[in-house]
Amino acid sequence: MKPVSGILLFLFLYPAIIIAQLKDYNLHYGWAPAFHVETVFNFHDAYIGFGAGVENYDWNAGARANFSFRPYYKKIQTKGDNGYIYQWREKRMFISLDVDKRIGRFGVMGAETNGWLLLRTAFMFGDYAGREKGPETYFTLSPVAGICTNIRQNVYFKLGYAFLNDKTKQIPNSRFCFNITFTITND
Amino acid sequence: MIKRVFYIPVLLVFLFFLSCKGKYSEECDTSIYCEKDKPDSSILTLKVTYAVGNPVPVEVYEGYIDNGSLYFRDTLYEGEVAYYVPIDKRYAARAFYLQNGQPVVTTDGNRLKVQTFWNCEERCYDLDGIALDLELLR
Repeated sequence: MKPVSGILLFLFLYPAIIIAQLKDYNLHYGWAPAFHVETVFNFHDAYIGFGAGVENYDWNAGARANFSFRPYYKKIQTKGDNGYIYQWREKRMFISLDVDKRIGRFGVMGAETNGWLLLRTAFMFGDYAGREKGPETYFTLSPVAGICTNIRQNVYFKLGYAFLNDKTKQIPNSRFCFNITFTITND
Repeated sequence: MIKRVFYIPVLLVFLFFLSCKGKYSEECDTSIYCEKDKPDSSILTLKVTYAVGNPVPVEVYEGYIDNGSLYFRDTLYEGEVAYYVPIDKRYAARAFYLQNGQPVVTTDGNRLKVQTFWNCEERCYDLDGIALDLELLR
């Protein structure tokens, strides 16, 4: 898992770093490369993720590719067509295209804070320990709403409610999302 | 000029993900038994939810349960049973329960590899093996 994650991280971040070196580009176009780390969690489950993309300062919006995974096997149960209950140790992950927008502006303890909306189009996949065929793969939409605080220039802390349906009865679809987004600028 | 400080966390995170687990240690504990020769077998432990009077039938597969071969069947009369099986193979196991009249099948699997560690500047083979968790979800 770790080498795969490292390669994916490299594939996401390397283009962003190259783009960031293009002289004055974000000055002209308002775009800046951005990368993020995040966790989507509730009291029953947790994903950690990372990704990279772009942030537009003029529009207060961003778009990023993301890879998230549950870093452990979790016991889940599914019901078979034959009436049996099957219990698996499941590892879940998803890749997604995320589009987010910061709205409004208000100050909280001197920090610039915005409302935050994120729409994630995710492809869910995974692995069952002991079975070659993994769980069902599917596309799903995952909306997130919360607040975003710009504590330091180029660093955004985002916290919100996330709805993520991973089709597991034991795990509620309501989760928290905590995201830290970094932008790379030429200043 | 780009803030080069951003490269540092990126590099650190990248190196973390690519790092290998090193077990080399200069420590020397003479009470630890050191198996210097690579074994051809190791321990496969099955953990089940056992209640007195309710033995648990299990199946162990070489490979995966849906794409492997049945290695053996057994019935367990305790919560944890160990078997000595060849290493460098993947094993999967299923346990069969009847819970409130409802059949429940639990599955787990893993590759049985032998880990190594260093003690007193000698490389030792770890004989702990692997455990497959077939216990019922609570």
